[in-house]
Formats: sequence, C-alpha cells, structure tokens
Amino acid sequence: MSANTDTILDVASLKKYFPVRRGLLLRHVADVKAVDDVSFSVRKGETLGLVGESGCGKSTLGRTIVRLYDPTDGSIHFKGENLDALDRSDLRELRKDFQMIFQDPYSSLNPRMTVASIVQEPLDIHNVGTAAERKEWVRELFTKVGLKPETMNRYPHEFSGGQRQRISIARAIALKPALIVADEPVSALDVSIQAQILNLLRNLQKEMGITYVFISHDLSVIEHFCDEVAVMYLGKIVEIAPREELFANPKHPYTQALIRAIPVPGDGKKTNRETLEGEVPSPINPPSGCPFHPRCPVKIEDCSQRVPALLPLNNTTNHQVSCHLYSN
Amino acid sequence: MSEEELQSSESQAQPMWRIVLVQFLEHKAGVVGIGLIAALALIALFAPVFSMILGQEPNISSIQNRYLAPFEKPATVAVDMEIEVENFIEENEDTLEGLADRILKSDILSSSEVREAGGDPEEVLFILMEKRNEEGVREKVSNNDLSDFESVIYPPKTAGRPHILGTDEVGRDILIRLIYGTRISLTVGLAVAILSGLIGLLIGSLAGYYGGVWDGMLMRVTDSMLALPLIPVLIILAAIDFNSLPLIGGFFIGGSSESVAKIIVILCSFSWMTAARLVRGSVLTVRNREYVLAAKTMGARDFRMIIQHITPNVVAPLLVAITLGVGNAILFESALSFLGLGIQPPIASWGNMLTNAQELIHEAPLLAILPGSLIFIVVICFNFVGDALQGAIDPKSIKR
Ligand SMILES: Nc1ncnc2c1ncn2[C@@H]1O[C@H](COP(=O)(O)OP(=O)(O)O)[C@@H](O)[C@H]1O
Ligand SMILES: [Mg+2]
Repeated sequence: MSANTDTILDVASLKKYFPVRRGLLLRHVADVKAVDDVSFSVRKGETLGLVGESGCGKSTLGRTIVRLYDPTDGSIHFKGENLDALDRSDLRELRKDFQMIFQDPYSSLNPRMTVASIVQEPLDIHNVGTAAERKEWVRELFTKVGLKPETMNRYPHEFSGGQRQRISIARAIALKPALIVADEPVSALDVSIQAQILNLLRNLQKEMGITYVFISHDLSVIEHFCDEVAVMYLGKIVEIAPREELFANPKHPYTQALIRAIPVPGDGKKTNRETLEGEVPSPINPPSGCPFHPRCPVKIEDCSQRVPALLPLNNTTNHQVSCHLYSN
Repeated sequence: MSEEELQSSESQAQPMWRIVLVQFLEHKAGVVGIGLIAALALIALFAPVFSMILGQEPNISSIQNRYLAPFEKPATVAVDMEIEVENFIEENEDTLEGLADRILKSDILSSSEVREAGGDPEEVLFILMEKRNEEGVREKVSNNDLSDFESVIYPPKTAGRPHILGTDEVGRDILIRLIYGTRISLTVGLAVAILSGLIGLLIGSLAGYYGGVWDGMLMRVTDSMLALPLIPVLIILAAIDFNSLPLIGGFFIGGSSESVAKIIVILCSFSWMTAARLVRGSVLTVRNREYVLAAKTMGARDFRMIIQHITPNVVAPLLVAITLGVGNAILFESALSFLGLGIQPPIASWGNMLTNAQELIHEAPLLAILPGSLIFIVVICFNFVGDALQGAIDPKSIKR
C-alpha cells in the first residue's frame, strides 16, 4: 500500500527483536523475533485492527509504534515524519500526538495518585495551559468519558475495571492526540462493559477524529470496531484487508481458522468447528518457510521451503495475503 | 456509592498519607505495638531523668546488695570512703587550703600526725576519718568551725533507696539497667534497620535500574551473602578486635560506646541483602508497570518517572521491610550480647543482662524474665507495626 496524503501512520519493514542473553557475561545467544518485517499503513480517522493469538507480537508492535521500544530495523512515519530521524526534543513534542491505552486496568493507573492527577499528568508533562485551565479540562474530560467529575479526587482502587479503563481513555485523549494505540483495551472487562467502552471509543473517534490502532486477540471485537484488519502470526502479518472483505472472504488458512472459531451467538454446541491443532512455535526459533506451515491444514510442499511474501490478491489491491496458495 | 457520598467526598483530594494513617489505625495490634514502642522509646530517651528520680545509677555496683528482691531496701549504705573524699575535695578545693592549720588549732590531731600527712588535705581528711569514732572527736569537729567537713567525716546514715525490681549479681539496680538497656537495644535496632535499608535501597536500585552486568554482579554478591550461615559469621566477626586491624581500625570510636558502634556496623553489613532484593524486585516490576509505560509514551522525563512513579512504589514496601528489620536486629544484638560478643559490660543491654542470669535462673528468675520478656514484647511490637504498615500502605487493601 502506498502512502497517500491522508495516511497518518506508515510502518515499513518494521522489526523488533529482543536479544536473549545467557550466562555470567550475558552473551547474546539468540533473538526473540517478536515483530519480524511488518508493513502497513493507516488512514486518518480510521481504525486498524491487529488480531492474532497471544504471543504473536501485537503488543510489541503497538509499543514500537509509540516508541516505547526502539525498532531493530525498518521505519515508522507518523504524519509524514520519520520518527527515527527526530531528535529527543522533537520526538517528545510529537509524543503529544500519539498515545497508548493499555490492557490491564489495574496496572495502568498509578495507585498512589488521585485519578484527577493521573488524567492531568499529560498536561503537566507538556505544560499545557494554566493550572486552572488544566483543572477545568480534566473536569471536562471526566464528563467526556462518562465519569462523574465529583469522583475525580479519589484513588484508582475505588473504581471498577470499566471505570478505570475510562480513566485511561481520559488520560489518552487529554492532549487531543491524532493516533491512539489501544492494546486490548477491553480484554480484561466483562462482556457487558466491553460494549460500553467500545462505544465510548467510537464516539470519541467521531468527535475528535482520532485514528486507532486497535489490538485484540478476539476477532468478534475486531469485527465490530475496525475498518481494516491485519492478522498477525509469529511476528508477521499474514493477511490484511478491509473488514467486510476479510470476514466475507478470508484467504489465509490461519484467518479462516480464526473466523471459524468465533462463537456464534445462540449456538451453544460447538458443532463442527475445527479448532487449530498444535502450539504456537517459539519466536526464538521460528519454523522454516511459512511460519504457519506446521499447523496448516492445507499446506503444500513449498510451505516449508520458502517464506511467502505479503502480496495483493489478483483482483483487489487492498486485500493482501501471505500464502503460497495464492501466489500465482 | 450513594449520591450523598459522592457529594460529600467531592471537595478535596485526600492526601495519601492520611489514607495510610486511617488504614493503619484500623489495625489494632499495630496501634498497640506502636504505642508500646513509643512509650519505651520515651523512657529510653529520658533514662537519665529516671536515674535521678529513682536515685539509682546503671553502673554502680554494691557487693553488699547483690540479688535483692524487688522493693527490698539495701541493708546498709555502702559508702566508698575513697570516692566520697575525692568528690568532696574536687568540689571544695578553695576551702581546703587552711585545713591542716584549722585541724592543728582544734587539737583533734597532734602536730606530728599532721606533719606525717605532709600537709596534703586528702591525707589529713583520711586520718581524721580513721579517728572519727574516738571519744570526743565528734564534738571537737562540730565546735571548732570544722562543721563544713562534718558531712564527709560523718556521712548521714540513711538507708539507700529501695530497688524497685531488685538488684543483679553485682548489686546494680535492675530497673535502671533495663531502662538503659532499652536505650541500647532500640538504638541498635533502629540504626541497623535504617542503615541496612539504605544500603539495600542503593544496591537494589542500581541492580534493578541498570540491569545487565551490574544486576548480575550485585545480585550474585547479595545471594552469596544471603547464603552464609549468619550466626557463626556474626560470632567470628564480633570476636575480631576491629581496632587492631590495620586499615579500618582508625574509623572506630574508642571508649565506652565502641562496642555499640561495632555491633551496628557488623549487623548492618549482614542485613542489607533482603532490602536489596526487595528493592530490586520492586524497581523491576514498577519499571514495567503499564502506568510507567504510559508516562513514558506521554513523554515524561526521567525525573518525573523516578519521583512520581518509581520511588513511591519502591519506598513503600521498603518501609515495611525496615520496620520488620528492627525486630530482627534487636534479636541479633541480644543474641550476640548474650554470647558476650555484642554490647560489652558495664553498658547495659537486654542481651548481656541475660548472660549472667542464665546461671541463676532458679535462684533469681526475674533476672532472666525481665530482659527476656522485653526483647519478646519489642520484637513482636515491631512485627505488628510492620504488618499494619504493610496493610495500610498497600493501595489494593484500601477499602471504603
Ligand atoms: N521485553 C521483552 N523481552 C523479551 N521478549 C519479549 C518482550 N516483550 C515480548 N517479548 C516476547 O515477544 C513475543 C511477542 O510478545 P507480545 O508482543 O507481548 O505478544 P502479544 O501482545 O501478541 O501477546 C513473545 O514471545 C514474548 O515472549
Ligand atoms: Mg499483548
């Protein structure tokens, strides 16, 4: 996909390896290839869903995008700026524009700060407005995310999981960012509360024009929330397509298996839903060829030999899949 | 939460320390513990005042009054002639000038006797005291304007103050020794716990923050020291005379408090490891907490990260560990002193008070019971306080 004018985030050949060190001298013995050659771009105001089993590198990808981690290789362009080329103070300035929401509503808020000071923290860090203006904006933010401003002088432990996630969201939108990476923001919540939080995120998107990179291991959440979906397996994107296209016409055997595994409402029995066999291989020592081939029900000879490239399908340009079955 | 509650709590943010305080006060045993500790600390602080009120000194022994029962009055006042005379001379040097002449004039001593003393007022006084019970001497002393010496030559024959808790094997007052022992034990306990907490904080945060090779090295040292059998090592160290060591000898204060300084140093060097491990662990976990990552994404500088996010969540558990460490340090101090390797007599410490008590456990059980139960109570109190603090300081346990 080429970067056009309304592309806000462009990730190209991004790699993030974690070194594995052993022994007294901490010799570098191997790498965890958590993100291995990933490319995609996101248009302004849209939502890209990142889906995949746990351990496939979604969080690492998200954290590398917001520069919690330095990439091992590849580039990230945000609003046309190459994040790697920026010096410290420019990057710090640009950080106002992208934020992250984390999965665990219990560890994402400092237990020793009042929720008001938590939400105000980004304003303090970037010295936005006067003290009074900050207070006022925090109060407004609380209303925006559906919390009573009267409760803002309390501590995080006094709130439920859903309320805490609202506080995280308030903190994330405090600087009116253009991009938010939401790492499994509803995975730790009850189903009934998940819907409320997703609604809140959607409303904020409409109101403030925020772009989301939305991470989840749950395709049914992705299905209701994203414009575009990227499926990850062992650090690589194996398929990426607009939401309707992906769910109507999944190509990669892994995507097909994931979609088959979505529980159907009302269908209590798990009839003829084959689940994926086997374990996810280790990202330290990924299988040769296509990383999915040891578990693939339809593998051909090529699969264990060559690594498939992520290529557009014949007819459409925005549905890409990395599978030898479609490579001619 | 009801509406009213929401309204009432709106106005002000409760500072964290108040929440912690309220939580702490809910822990009954902890409150009792800190009350007892505070009381003991006050008594220890004002030990000299108690000494005055009770009329007892911790280090004055009296052979005639060994093993007195509680409240038993000492049989006779054991006035040590020599000490009394020396004190008197020190205080009244100017009036002593003409003593020899005045005595000659009063005709108590013959001129040859005075000459024998060589005019030395001290000698003269001693000779005078030897003759004090001869007939007519007392009258001569009071009639010949020597009355200012009368109190030395004829000390008042009051019976001594009773020893409230009796006396020990050399006739020292047990109560005042317990009070002075409290001073030593609390000082050693607090100093060791706080100092080793600080050492642990330094080493643990270096290891946790820098990680890598630093972490490996520091933690290996920590582990090896943890693996040493503590009591034998402490005994060996305590038996070394630090002053005779070539390099570090000079750092030790000589004199009476030397054994106190020494035991603090020895105990510190073997009790920082738990704190170091704890701090390292907290630094590592806190560093990867999502709120720290969130602050980093927002562009927070190191200073804010350390002050606002890391420190409070590292110091809180360390505080608990320090409190619990006081009890341990007191126990070790007592153990070493009991073995005769810690606080050296005549300085009183609960541990060394036990040393001699054990031989006489049947004849004078109080000698063992009193310091023993003080150790027991204080250690338990510190554990209760640590427990309460742990509950109060952990934000998850805060309920409303
Ligand atoms: N900081 C790290 N150091 C070493 N390995 C890591 C680190 N973070 C993640 N990993 C490894 O990278 C892989 C991807 O992890 P992650 O990005 O958390 O996956 P996901 O979010 O999809 O569950 C896993 O194998 C994980 O063990
Ligand atoms: Mg994850």
